[in-house]
Amino acid sequence: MGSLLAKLADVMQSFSGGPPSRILMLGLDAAGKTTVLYKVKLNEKVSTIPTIGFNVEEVSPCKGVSFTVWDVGGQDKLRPLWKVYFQNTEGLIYVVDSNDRERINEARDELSNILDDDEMRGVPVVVLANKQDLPYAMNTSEVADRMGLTKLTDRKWFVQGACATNGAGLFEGMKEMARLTKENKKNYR
Amino acid sequence: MSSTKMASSKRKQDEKHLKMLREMAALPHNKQCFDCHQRGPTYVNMTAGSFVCTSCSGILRGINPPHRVKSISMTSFTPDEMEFLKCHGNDLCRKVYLGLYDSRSCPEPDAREEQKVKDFMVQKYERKRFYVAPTEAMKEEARHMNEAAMNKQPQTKPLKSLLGNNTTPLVVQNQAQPAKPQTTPGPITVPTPTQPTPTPKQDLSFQSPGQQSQSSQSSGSTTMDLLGDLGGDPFASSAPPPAPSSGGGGFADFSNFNSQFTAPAQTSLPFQSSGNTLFPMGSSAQDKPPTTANGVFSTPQSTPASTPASSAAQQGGDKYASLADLFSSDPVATTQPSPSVGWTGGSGDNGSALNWGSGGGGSWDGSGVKNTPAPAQTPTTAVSWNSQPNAAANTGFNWNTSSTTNATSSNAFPNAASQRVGNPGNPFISSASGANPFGGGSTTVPAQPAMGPASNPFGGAGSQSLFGGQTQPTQAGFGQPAMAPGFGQQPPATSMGGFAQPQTSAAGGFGQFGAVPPSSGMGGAPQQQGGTNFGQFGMQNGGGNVAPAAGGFGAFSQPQTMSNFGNAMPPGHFDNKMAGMSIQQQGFGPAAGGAGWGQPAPTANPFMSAASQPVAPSSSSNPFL
Repeated sequence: MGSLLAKLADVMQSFSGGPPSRILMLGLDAAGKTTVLYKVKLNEKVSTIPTIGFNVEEVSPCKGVSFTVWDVGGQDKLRPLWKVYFQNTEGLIYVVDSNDRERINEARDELSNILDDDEMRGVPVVVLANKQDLPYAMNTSEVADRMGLTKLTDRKWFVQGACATNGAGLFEGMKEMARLTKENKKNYR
Repeated sequence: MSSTKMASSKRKQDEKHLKMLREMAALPHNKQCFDCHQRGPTYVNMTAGSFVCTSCSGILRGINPPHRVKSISMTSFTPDEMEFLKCHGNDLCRKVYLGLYDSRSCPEPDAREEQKVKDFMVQKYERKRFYVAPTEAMKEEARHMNEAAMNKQPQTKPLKSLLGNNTTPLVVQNQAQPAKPQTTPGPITVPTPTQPTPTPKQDLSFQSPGQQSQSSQSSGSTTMDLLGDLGGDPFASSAPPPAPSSGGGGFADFSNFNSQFTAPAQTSLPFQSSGNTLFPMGSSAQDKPPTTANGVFSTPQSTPASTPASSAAQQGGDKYASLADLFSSDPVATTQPSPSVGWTGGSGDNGSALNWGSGGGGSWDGSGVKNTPAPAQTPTTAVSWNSQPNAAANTGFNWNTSSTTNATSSNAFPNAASQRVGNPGNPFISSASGANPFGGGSTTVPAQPAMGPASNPFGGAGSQSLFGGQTQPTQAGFGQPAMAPGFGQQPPATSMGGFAQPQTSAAGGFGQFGAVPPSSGMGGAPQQQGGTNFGQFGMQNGGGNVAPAAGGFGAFSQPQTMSNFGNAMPPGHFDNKMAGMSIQQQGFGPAAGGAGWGQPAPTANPFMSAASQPVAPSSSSNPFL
């Protein structure tokens, strides 16, 4: 009886979404984080300015999924502040500018710094390989490789090619994020 | 341990870079967003090397291919990136991305209409409709502009201190020598350019005059004629200061000047007019410098500026030193200044230096050692200053005096007068330099010599800036009011107008002068006190003036001057600047009003505004447009 109720509660939660998951969105400056956020939220291509501080929006990219997405500025002097947002984070969306080969290593190092933090232990990561519309963009497998994800074994991760300006790949990424956070929650229990 | 050490050294470097960036962003040519002209850029465009505002940085990230933007305060910069920025800046970007831009055919969008701004940026960066490939020389110039500005500040300070100490002596000299100085203004040859523009031959005559002037007053007479012509035109146009008449009786005018100066603006014009007359040259030559001055002048004429210049320069350097001393201590020194030979020398340096091109800034720096140097540069013109100078000196001195004590200033050259003088002086100087150029430029190497002279003129400009610098120090002393009024009222309209009108081509030069200064040079000068200002001045002025001078003098043909302009500063550029100017004016407008002055305590600002206003209005806009 009890287990039945628990299952019912689970199912109900999966429909209603329960409280929104706390999702942190990070990445180097000009990777497209804010554009992703507002494309998902408003389905509009907004013209952004470099984020100083953060943006936070509640989004529900698909049925039954509700996220509170924290989009934090990525300029290098703002990065030390990222850790302030780590607490209670259920999922990390890491946005990468696939067209910026010069800084892909910097992006990798910053990601590894994040994942090394205690508070981010086990938190699933979705890497959005953004700007896939640009002609010289790295494809998702190259991004996964150069971001060192292939060596990442202590958590679930996923790479999704995306283009924030036209919305391609964003919802796939969000769905994957929802799935991983749910899995992570279950395991956590 | 090592990591902490590295961290601290990195932090130090970041701080250094941040300071440099802030200084660069405060330079007159960088202090507006390159794309929308909003004041106070907070981002740098690392793709183009420009300084932009936050909203434009957002747009730049979104164009294709995206430009890389970095926040000045929220990111750290590598030494390579700093180097890159030093070689660029908004001035260069204007020449590159707006090189073919004609504001009349396609006005720049209003900064408030974001979509239009964005569309314009697409035209500018994606389609590169106005693009002109940058040359090494342009980068070098940009670099000198930026570095000169950054390096000079410290140097300027000494000058201030010097001035403060010396002010009284200076006054004495002024009074004593006033007459000559006035005459010197006549030298302002500037007028000559105007005439020359009409016909090359005249120019030649000018050159000869220059020499003559060196040898004797006779040249002065010739110049007088020229001046008369010039004066008539310019003045007529300028109207106010009948100073023109002064052209004829430039000397008399000078006397008037003193009195008038107190009055203000109009007098300033006279100065210019007088400046027009070559007399200054002659006078200067006659005075003390003659030999040197003559030599200087002659050198330019006879041979490439470089060697003579160098020699002259050396002398100049010494003299400058002496000048510095003079300023600081004795009037006698002033006499030396008159030798302004230094000026010429300075000019020579510039000439040899080409520095203009490369780095007027550099030369400035060298001279920079002494603030006076800047003057020195002006000197070339200044020389005339000095020679005039004594008149100039007077003015200069007045400055000092004024700076130190307002009361003293009241004497012959009121502070205001001095300031005004300063303005005129600059023009004059420029003109003077022009004279030099004529001498040298016409006959010999054109561009370079011209450059040299131009640079000198700039120096003149520099002198202005110096004034500015001095003024700053003195600010309190000057009594802001005096300064402000002077600048705001007279200088702008008269000096600018006068110049512009007189020289049609020359006008361009002057106009540029005006134009440039406001946007960049003037602004720069003000902001950074002496040194930087000078450097900037030199550069910008050099760009504008030089070109004109070269064209006017060397080529004489107006067209050439125009072309020179184009080279030095693309037409589009001007327009832009104009636009910029206007904006600045607005901003400053109040200040200019005079009321502003007092408040703006920061001398730099006031000066800036003053400079800009004058220039903008009268000048350039009309001529250019």
